[in-house]
Amino acid sequence: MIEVRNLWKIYRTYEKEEGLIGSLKALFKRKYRDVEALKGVSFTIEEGEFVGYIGPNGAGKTTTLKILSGILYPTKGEAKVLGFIPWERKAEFLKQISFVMGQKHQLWWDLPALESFLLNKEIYEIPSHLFYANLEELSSLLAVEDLLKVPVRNLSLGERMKMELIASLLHSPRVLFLDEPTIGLDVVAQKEIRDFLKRFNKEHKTTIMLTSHYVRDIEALCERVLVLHRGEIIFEGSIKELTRRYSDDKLLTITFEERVPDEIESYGRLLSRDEGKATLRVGRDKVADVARALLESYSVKDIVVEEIPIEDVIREIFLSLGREEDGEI
Amino acid sequence: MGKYRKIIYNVIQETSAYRLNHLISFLCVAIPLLAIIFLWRTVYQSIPSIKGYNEAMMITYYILSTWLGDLTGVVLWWEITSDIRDGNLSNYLLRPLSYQLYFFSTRLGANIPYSLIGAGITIIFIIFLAPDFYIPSNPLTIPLFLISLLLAMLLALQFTYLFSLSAFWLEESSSVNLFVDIFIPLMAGNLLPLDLFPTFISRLFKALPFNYLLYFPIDIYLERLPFSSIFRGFLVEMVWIAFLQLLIAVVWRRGIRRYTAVGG
Repeated sequence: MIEVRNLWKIYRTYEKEEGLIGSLKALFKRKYRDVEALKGVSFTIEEGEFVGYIGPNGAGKTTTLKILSGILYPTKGEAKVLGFIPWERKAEFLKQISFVMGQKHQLWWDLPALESFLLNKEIYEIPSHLFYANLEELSSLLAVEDLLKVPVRNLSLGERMKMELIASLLHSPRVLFLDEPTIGLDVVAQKEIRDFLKRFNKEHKTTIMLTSHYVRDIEALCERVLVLHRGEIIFEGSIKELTRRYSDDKLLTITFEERVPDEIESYGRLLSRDEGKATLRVGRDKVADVARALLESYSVKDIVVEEIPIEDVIREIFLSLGREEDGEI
Repeated sequence: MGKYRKIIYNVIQETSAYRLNHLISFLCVAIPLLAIIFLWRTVYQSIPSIKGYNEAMMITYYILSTWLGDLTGVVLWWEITSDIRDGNLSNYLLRPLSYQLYFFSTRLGANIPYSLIGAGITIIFIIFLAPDFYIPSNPLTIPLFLISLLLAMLLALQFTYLFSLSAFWLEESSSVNLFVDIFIPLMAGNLLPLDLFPTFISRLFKALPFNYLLYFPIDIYLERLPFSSIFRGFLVEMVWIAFLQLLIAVVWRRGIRRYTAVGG
């Protein structure tokens, strides 16, 4: 469905010195700087997969999606989506994909969303019966039936995002790219959109590639993740594998009968403590020993063993990568 | 073609929310027109004709150029330049849609209500302030004038599009803006009928394509041209239109490769 091989994208940015003299200099000799956004990215995505694409800001996630949806030309490398070369932008290809950008909108600001939908009906040449069936399904799933005739400028951010989603899905795309679709939304709207995407992917077998800063989105939706760092893919697999590979620790939350003993810090890294409760971070293979030692030495009410939240794991991965790289320079 | 019809419809709907703006901005151009008419009336008190224009023709020239100014004017279209610079162009590249035709449709949609309001004000203006407004005597003149107007609109759209695409290369476009805002109106005949310039400048401007935007259609309306010159003019204009379309295709293809789709 999506095949990417050794994809490179180098942005050339021109640097200009300040002021008039700088402008004049630039006329004769332009200084430029090459920024390598993608450095040989390769991956494959199968039909119906819901893949998360994560990485810190500037890792090249959005660049990848833009190349795969035909907006950008790569510097070199190959990519096929639905058998098409995306950047040729054949009408047949564009009719089968969609790209929702959390920070860009396609709806007409002063008109009701319905007018934008009707325009897409013409642009994508959607037959009337399909159009109205899709519109009904999407607007009822997202609970926005009553808002179709309200000018877009009068909608809330969450409602607008739902309308953007509808506009992007009316032509039943087979491949959907989502770039930060929940950015800036409140928790309720985030969850609604998450639930909707999950259901939509299941029912329509749409292949979806998602980037998001909210690890919760990724965790809830994606069976597989690609981790991108500085233009290179550093991990490919399930979220569980990611956690296991990068984090050898577990969290131990101990509730004591009395006050937390002062020596608690000798058992592991203390993350938090209050009256009778403490949370320790302990190596995976030491969990049993630590728990036994605590039970023998103190009167313990309860011990809970947990995985480290994925958000923290991912943050740590990027932090550690950042440090390593900084060390090299 | 349904998609472009729908775009025109949407734009008309959208701009009709700003009817009053149209009215006010049209009144703003009508006031300088008043001053120009008074100026020429004074000039013609001592001379019966200037370079073949009598008083009625000269005043008609300025009234028409004011009404057509926006219809066949070339601008640096900020929606295109900001689409390119802010990365909004992505939204159009994603859909099976020609950005050029999309732009043509939006301009057309915005121009239709504007020029209708303009026509209304112009007629009132003529009735009260310029009863000697020139009416062509040959019945073929009006159809030929309308054809020249359509070609002029097409040419204006092409130039506007082409100049606006410069945003692919330029971070800011004040030099393009200067050319588009100051020199094109001069060469198109918005300020003066081209015949009033010194001979060599007048010849130069008539050899450039910009005179087809305004001077040529008004010349047809004022029946200053024999049919043979009108048809030769149409022919040359169409060659320009074809050439510009080729140029647009080349510029677009190169620009789109430079496009970086910032933001998002």
